[in-house]
Parts: sequence; structure tokens; C-alpha cells
Amino acid sequence: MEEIKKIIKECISGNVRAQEKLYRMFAPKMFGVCLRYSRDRTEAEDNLQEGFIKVFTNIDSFRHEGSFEGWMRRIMVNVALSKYRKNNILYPVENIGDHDMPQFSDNIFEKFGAEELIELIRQLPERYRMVFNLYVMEGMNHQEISEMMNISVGTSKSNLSRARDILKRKVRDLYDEVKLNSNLPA
Amino acid sequence: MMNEEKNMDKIFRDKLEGFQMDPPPLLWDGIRETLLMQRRAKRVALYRWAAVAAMLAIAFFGGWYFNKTVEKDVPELAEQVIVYPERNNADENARVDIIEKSLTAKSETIDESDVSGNTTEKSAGLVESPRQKESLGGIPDPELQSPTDKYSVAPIKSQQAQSVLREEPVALKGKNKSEKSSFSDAEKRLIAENIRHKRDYSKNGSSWKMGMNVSPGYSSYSASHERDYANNMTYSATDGNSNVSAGISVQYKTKGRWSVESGVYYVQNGQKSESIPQLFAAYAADDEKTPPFTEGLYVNTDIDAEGNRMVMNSVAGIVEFESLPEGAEIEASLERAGSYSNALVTRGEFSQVFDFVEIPLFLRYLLVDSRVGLEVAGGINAGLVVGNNAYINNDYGLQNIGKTRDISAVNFSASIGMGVTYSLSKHISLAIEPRMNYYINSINRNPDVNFRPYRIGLYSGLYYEF
Repeated sequence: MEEIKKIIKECISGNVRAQEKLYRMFAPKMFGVCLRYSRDRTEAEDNLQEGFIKVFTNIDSFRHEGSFEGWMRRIMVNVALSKYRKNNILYPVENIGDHDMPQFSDNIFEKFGAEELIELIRQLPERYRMVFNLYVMEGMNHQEISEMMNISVGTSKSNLSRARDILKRKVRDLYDEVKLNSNLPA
Repeated sequence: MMNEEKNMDKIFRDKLEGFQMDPPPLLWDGIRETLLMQRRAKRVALYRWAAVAAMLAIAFFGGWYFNKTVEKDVPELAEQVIVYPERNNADENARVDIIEKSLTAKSETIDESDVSGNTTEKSAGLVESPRQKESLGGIPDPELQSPTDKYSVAPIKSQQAQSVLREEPVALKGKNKSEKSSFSDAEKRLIAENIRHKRDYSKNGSSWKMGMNVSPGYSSYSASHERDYANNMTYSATDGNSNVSAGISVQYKTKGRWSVESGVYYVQNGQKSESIPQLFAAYAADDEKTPPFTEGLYVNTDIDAEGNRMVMNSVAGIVEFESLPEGAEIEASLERAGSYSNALVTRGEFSQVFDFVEIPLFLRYLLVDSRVGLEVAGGINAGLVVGNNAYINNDYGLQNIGKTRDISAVNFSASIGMGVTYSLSKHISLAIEPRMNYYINSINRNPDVNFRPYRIGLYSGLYYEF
């Protein structure tokens, strides 16, 4: 903790070595965050770079009141959100009603690794991906999400529901495919 | 259903919460380089602002200093008045007195040529007076993400027509993630880095432009007056002054076609008046039968004795005489049109000159962006009055007779112009721009007087861009 404070202090004074040290400490974790919010790896790298530049430019505004990692994470999420707002591309998606989904055992998700789950999230339409990440990973409620994304609470709820449905369908298709190919025990 | 959703969320959260992956090694280099560039850009911006502030300060104080020096050279004339009350013409009872004054120069070291020389120098001095950067979004979304790999969303009818609009990185354009190109991952990243840096550099298109301007021009005025004031006012001619202004211009050019200009200009405005040989001057001429009033142009104006001073209602406001000019007579009459009972008669020309230091704030738009460019400019000027003099130019030379009362120290004018620029090199260019400058407030605070000078000038200058 004290070490982080010292590194932050040195970063504020523009010490490049301290900046590199801080980057090496947090970059892998922040890259994991960026990967969840991005369409692909390249976009995640861009977001990570932009996020770290914002971190170093605004590091003097960190008040040491919460965790530094949490502060950085919010910056990474904000970078992704501001890009989303800027692009603001809406993907009209076929209405998939909950009743259309067959009964689904969520244990099936347990059979996938983190990278595979991230890959599934990344394939979601942009707005669904944002809402899913903000709700599930950042623990925000629909009111907060609606304010951040400038959408209605209803839309946020609907987007989350559709994101879940898409993920379930994808996992089921993928699981069936893998099971057929490798006779993986269910 | 709810529990199913909660379990699903929990699985995602547990598996992804501590997920880590090493970013490509080149990423840190990009961050470090961007931070260094930002620091450099901040420093350069600071130097530029400091340079601009220093130049403006030097130009302003230089102009003020030299103007002050010139004013000191104007000779003061003192009068020795000999009054000869004399009843002249019995047929014309209206005329009561004719006061003849003869004047002698107080300072004997200054002769007429000095007086005119000084004033000429004051006008000519104008020619020589001091002149005148988001998104690191960087690599836009490549088509790599196109859901064509094994996890494609088959049941989703995504209308991705809009995604076609998205820009693709040149090096990766048209490549699908599943279609492996001949580039290794490391090479792709390197190419992407290079593209990003190239964009960052090309974004930086703002610049500064500094230059010196000289502008020959014609200044005149629009004026209106209250009736009582006007009845006692000197003849309102429409003559303006030809003069030269000069200044230093500083422009901040944005990345687009807009630029903002400021600077410091030294400008003269004013007016000239003379009378046709009208009624009273004609009387004076007839009565006196003196050569000065038999032909030529006259200044024939009502004057009032106020306290120990003579005042005259001029077009630009009340002029306070500091001395009575040589070769002038004061006629006392009961039949003046206005309420003032005395008139000043002299052959020659009366003029008022106001010296301004103008600080402009213009917005410029480049209509044609090529070697020969065309741009329009418009904005406002804060005009600081640094000189206020009234002159009479008669057979005895150009004499400073006093100042105009109630002149505001700071006035505002609006300017509009269209100019042609010619680039001599990457950094140096010439510009010529006809510009009109019109004062939006009366420069005289007297409620009876609305005097608003304007000036049409041809601004030509040499500019340096950096």
C-alpha cells in the first residue's frame, strides 16, 4: 500500500520509471477488463493505451480514498463507454423472447474457461456487451447503467436479458458442436 | 428463471474477475511516447503564449511611449491679448465689438516650421511606429471482429450495414481473423502502432502566425448632435483624414480553416472642418476688408467663454482652447444663430485628430486554401485613445489649439475585411486586405454628441508562420 503511494507520488512528478513500474503492475489486469469491453484484441489494446494515458495524466486527482486498482478500472470502463457513446451504433437485433429459449442448465458455463467466456462476451452486439459488463462485472444497477449509457431503464433491462439469451444460445451451440466433435461428457 | 440468471452472472463474475492477460510489449512504448509528446506540446504552448504576450506588451508600451514623446513636442502657444473695443459700422448696429488679438509664440525656440514639422512627423510617424490542437481510438475497429469465426451468432440477423462505415486499419483491411495473413501477430501490432503514430502526428495542424502591417487609409465619421449643441456648432464638413496606420498582428490558426487574430495597431481617426464664406464670415470680410477674409476657406464658428477658457462646439465634441491660434479673430455679435455670442474667424482649416491604440479580436476564415489564399475576417477592436488634439491650419501653419472634451478612454469598434494571402515559403507569406473599421459607440461621452469615426484601410503585411 505504502509502495503504491510512493509510486503514485513519483508518477505525479513525471518519473518515467515509476510510470513504467505502475504500468507493469496493473496492465495485465486492466487488459483483462479492456478485453471484456472490446470487440477484439486490437480495440482492447487501444483502450488500454488510452486508459493508461488518462491514468498518468490525471493521477494527481487520485485522492487515496479508495483502491487505486478500482480507480484505474473505472477509467478503463469509461474509455470503453466514451467510445461506445461516440460510435453510438445500434445493432437492431432479432427479438428473442425468453420463452423461445429452451430450458437451460447454467452449469454448462462452468465447462468454459475465462478466455472462452470473454470471447463470447466480445461477440455480443456492442450495447448488449456494455450493459452485460456494467451489470454483471461492475455491479451497477439498471438506473446507473441507463444514466451512463443515456438509455432508459427498460432498455437496459431488455438489453441485459437479450445479452444473457444470446450467451446461452451461443454456449449451447458451441457445447453441442464440441460434444459432437470430441464426445465430451456432459 | 431469476436464480438461473443469478447463477449465470455469478459464474461469469467468478471466472472473469481476476482474469489477467499480458498486453503486447509495444504498448508501453506507445504510452511513454504519447506522454512525452503531451509534455513537449505543453511546453511549446507555454513558450508560444509567453512570446505572444511579450510581443504584445512591447508593441503596446512602445506605441504608448513614442506617442507620448511626440505629444510633448507640440509647442504651446501663449497669447498676449490686446483688446481694441471698436464700434465699426454705424449701419449695422448688431455688431458691437471686434476684438483683435495678436499672438506671439511663448517659446521662441520653436518656429513655424517646427510646429508643422512636428505635426508632419506625427502623421509620418505612423509609418514608423511599432507594428503591428482523441480518441486514441486510434485504430478504428477492424473487421477482425466480424462474427465469422466458430462462435458466430447464427440466429442473429445483425444489420451490420453501419459497421461498413467504420474505418479499417489500412494494413489489416479486408482481413478476417480466421484468414491468417502473411504477417505475424508481432508485425501486425507493429504496423498498427506505426499507423497510430502517423495519425497522431498528422492531427497536429494548429500553428501561430505573426506579422507586421501597414495600412494607408481614409478615416471619416458619422455624427449626430442635439439641436442646441448643433446651433452653436462649427460647420460640419464631411471631410475625413488620409492617414497611415501600422501594427503587429498575431494569429492562432486552428487545425481547420478558422483562426483567431489579435495584436496591436496604431490608428488615427478624426475629421476636418472648414466653412464656406457664409453670412457672418462674409460680414467679417466685408467689414474688415482685410485680405484674410476676402477669399479662400474659413473657419467661422461660434465660441463661448467658459470660466477662463474658450470652448467651441465641434463635430466630435466640445473643444477646449488652450490658446488662441495666430491669425484668428474673435467676433462678438448679438445676432448669432446659436446662444454663443462670439465667433472665431480665421482663414484655414480646423481639424480634430484622435490617436488610437487598437487591440483587435478577429475571427478569420480561409475561403481558399492554396498558395494564393483568400480569407474573410471580422471582429471587434478595443480602441484606447492615446492622443486627442485639435488643430487649426492657416497661414501661420498648423497650430495645436487644444483638446476635445469628454472623449472616452476606451472605445469599441467593429471590423470586417477580406484579404488575399500569398505564400512566399512554408513559413513566410504576404497579405493584403481591405478592411473597414466602424466605431460602435460614440467616442464622446457628452450626451449631446454622437460621434463615431470609421476608417477604410488597405492592410498589407508580411507574416511569419510557426
